[in-house]
Amino acid sequence: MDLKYSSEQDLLRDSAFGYLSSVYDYHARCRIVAGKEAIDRSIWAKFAELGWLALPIPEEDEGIGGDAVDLSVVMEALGSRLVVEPFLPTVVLGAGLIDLLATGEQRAILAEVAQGTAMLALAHQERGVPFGSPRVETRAERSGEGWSIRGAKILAIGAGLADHVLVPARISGAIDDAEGVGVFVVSRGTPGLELTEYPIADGRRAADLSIDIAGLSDSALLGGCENALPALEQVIDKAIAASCAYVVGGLDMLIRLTRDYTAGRSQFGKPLGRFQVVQHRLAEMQVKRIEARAAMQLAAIRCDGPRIERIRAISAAKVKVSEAARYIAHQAVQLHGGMGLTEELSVGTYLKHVLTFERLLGDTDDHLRRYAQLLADGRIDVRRGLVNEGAEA
Amino acid sequence: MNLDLTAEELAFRDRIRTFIEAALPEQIRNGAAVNVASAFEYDISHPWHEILRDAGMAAPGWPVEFGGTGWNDVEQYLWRMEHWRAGAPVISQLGMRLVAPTLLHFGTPEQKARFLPRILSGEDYWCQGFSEPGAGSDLAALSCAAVRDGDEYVVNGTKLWQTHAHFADWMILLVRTSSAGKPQQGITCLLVDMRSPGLSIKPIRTIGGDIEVNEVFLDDVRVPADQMIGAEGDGWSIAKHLLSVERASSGNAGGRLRSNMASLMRMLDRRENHVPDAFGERTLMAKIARRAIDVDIVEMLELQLLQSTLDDHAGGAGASVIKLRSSIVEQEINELSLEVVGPEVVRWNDHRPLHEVDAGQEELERLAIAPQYLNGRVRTIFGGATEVQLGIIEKALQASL
Repeated sequence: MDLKYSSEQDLLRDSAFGYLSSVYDYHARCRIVAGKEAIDRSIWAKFAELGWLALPIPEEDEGIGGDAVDLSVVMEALGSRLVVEPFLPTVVLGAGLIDLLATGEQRAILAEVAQGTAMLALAHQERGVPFGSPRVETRAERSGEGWSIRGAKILAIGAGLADHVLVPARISGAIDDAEGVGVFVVSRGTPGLELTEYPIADGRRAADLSIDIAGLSDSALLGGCENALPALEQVIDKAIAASCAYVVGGLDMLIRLTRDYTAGRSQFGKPLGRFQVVQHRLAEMQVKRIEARAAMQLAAIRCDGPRIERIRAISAAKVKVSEAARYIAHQAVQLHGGMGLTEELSVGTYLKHVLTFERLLGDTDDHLRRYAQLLADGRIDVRRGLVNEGAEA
Repeated sequence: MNLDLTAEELAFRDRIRTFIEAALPEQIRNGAAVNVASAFEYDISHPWHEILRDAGMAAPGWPVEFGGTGWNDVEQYLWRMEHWRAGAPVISQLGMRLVAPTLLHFGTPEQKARFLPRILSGEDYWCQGFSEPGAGSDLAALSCAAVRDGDEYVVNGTKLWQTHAHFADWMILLVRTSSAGKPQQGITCLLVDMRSPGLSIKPIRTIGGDIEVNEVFLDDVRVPADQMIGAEGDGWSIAKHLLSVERASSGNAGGRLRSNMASLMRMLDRRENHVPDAFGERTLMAKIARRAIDVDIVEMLELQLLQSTLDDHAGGAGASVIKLRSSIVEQEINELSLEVVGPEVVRWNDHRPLHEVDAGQEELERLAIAPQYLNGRVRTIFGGATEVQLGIIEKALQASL
C-alpha cells in the first residue's frame, strides 16, 4: 500500500501548478475563451513541451507511459485554473481509446498527440441514449475495401478543434447488443462529416455530428475490433476519474477564494469570517473537498485495475465529487454575495464547470444505479475493504 | 500509488482471519451483533478480552515490552478490520485505547509497571472522568476540585457521562487544582480507585434503553499523589493528547462502518413482510449505494491518515474530518436500517442487555435496530461534538496557505 506521490509526481505537481499559475489567471482564461477558437495554441504547444500531452501514452508510442495517478496530478492543476484547452478529449479520451484499440500504423496518431500536432475528440454520445447503455444507432457497413458510416452524434467536446474524431458505430447486431460495435477514426475534412459547433455552459466548445460517409478506408476501424464497447467503457471511466481530479483542483481554489473574501469583507461591523455561521460553512466546504479528494485518488488508483473494483471506485467518485462540488460552488457563490453572481469574479465560472461536470459522463443517478447494481448482484461485498485482497480481488 | 497488500501482509491477514474465526465463540458474536450501546457490554467484551490475552493479541498497539504485538500500522489496521469483519466486540475500550496510551506517553515507570499489566490482563477495567454537568464540549470549564493534603489529594465534585463506571475498577479523572490564570491552566490528571470511600455512582438510562453512562459523585475522595499523571497543571495537555487519540481511533470505517453495512445487507436479505414496489426498491437501493460509497470514502480517508498523506490536504485536521464524517455516516446507516426493516422495526423490548432476551438471533437483531438508531445519536456528540470538529477544521483552514 502506498498513498504518497512519488518524487516524480511531486515534481510534476509543482511544475503543473507553477506553470499554470504564471500563465493562466482568470483574466487570461477569459481572453482565451473569448477568442476565435476558444483555446490558446501557444499554451497547447507548451503542454507538449512540458510532456503533459505524452503523459499516458506508452513509451513505445513515443509517450511517457504514465499511469492514471500521474494524469490526475495534471488534471488537478488544469482544473484549479479552469483550463479550456482540449486535454481531456485529446489525451484522455482520444489517445486513451487509440491506445486500447489501435494496432500497427493506426498508433502513429499517439506520437502526433504527444508532440502536440494532433488534437482528438470522441463522439460517442447519441441523443437520448442513457449512460452505460450499449445502444449505438450509428451504422457502419462494409463497402468494397472500406466502410461507409451513417448516423448522428451530439455533444462531442472539442470536436471542432479535432484533427481526428473517434466515432463508435454499429457494425453488426441489434441497436443495443453488447457486441458488434467498432470505433472509427474520421479525420477532419472527410467528405460527409458535418460538424455544428456551439459553446457549452462552462465556455468550452462542443459539436453535434451529422455523418454520412462513404469510402472510408479499411484501416479507419481501430484494431479491426468489432467488440469495442468494453474499451469504450474503460476509457470513459478513465475520463470520469480525470474529470474528478479536474473538479477537485477547482474546489481547492474555490475554498481559498471564499476564505479570503470572507476575511476581507466586513458587514455588521466585523469581517464575515468572524461569524460562526460562516466559519462552520467554510469548514463544511473543506470537509466535502477532502472527501472529494479522497474519492478522486481512489478512482485514479483503480482506473487501470480489474473492472468491478474500477466501476466501484469511478462511480463512487462521480457521486461524491458531484455532491461536494455542487455544495462548495453554491456556498462559494452564496458567501461572495451578489459579487458571486458577476462575471468579474471567477467563482461563478467554477460553478459553470461544476454544472457541466455533473451533467456529462453519467450523472449522479446513473452512477448510483451502476454502483447499486453491483451491490444487488453481490459483486460488491460491503464487508470488503479497499486494500487489495489478492486472490479475492 | 497503490492499495495492494504485500504477500507478507496477505499472509498476516489470512492468519488473523483464521485465528478469529476459530477463537470467537458464537455466543459472543451473537451478543455483539445485538449490542445496543456504544461500548460493548462487559459480559460480552470481557470473555473475548481473556481469549485475546491468552493468545497474546490483546494489545496490538502497545510497545512489545508491555505486552504489545509489535505489529506495524498496516498490520494493526488489518487486525481491526478482521476483528470487525468477524463480528467480535471491542475489548476494554477505555483502558486499552485511552488510559494505556496516556500512561505510555506521560506515566512514570512505576505507574506503567503498576497499571499496564492489569489493563492487559483484563483484571482492571477503566472509565473516564472528564465531563461535568457544567463542562461538556467546553471541557476546560471543569470545576471538580482537588486540594493537596500531605501525600494525598482530596477531591470534591461531580462527573457526568462516565461510560461503564458501574463496571470499572479505576477512573482516569481530570480535576481543577488551581483557578488562577486561563481555565486550561490548573487542570490535573489523577487515577482514582473506584472503590475509594466517598465515591458514588448514579446510573443513567438513555433513550436506547441502556444503562451505559453514569453520573459520578466525589465527596472528599482521597487520592494518593503518586496516582497523578505528569505534574500538577499538566492535565490540559494530557487531555488534549488523550482526546486526539480518541478522535483518531473513533472512525475505523474499514471495520466498524463496514460491519454496520453488513448487518444492513443482512436485514435486506431477510425482508419478508416489507417488500417495497419497484419504485421503492430502486430508491432504497440508491440510498444503500450512497451509504456504501460514503463508507468507501471514509475508509480511504483513514488509509490516507495511516499513510500520513491526509494532513497535507487537511491542514492537520485530518482526524477531525474522519471523526466528523464517520459519526455522521454511521448515523445515516442506522436511519437506513430502520427503512429496510420497515414498520415492524418499532417493536420494542425493554430488557438490557438484549442478548439475554429469550428469542431467536434474527429477531434479536431486528429488535436491536431501533435502539441502536436512538443510541447512535450520541456519536456526533461524544468524542468532540460535530460543532467542535467544525471549529477545529476551520481554524486549520485559516492557518493553511
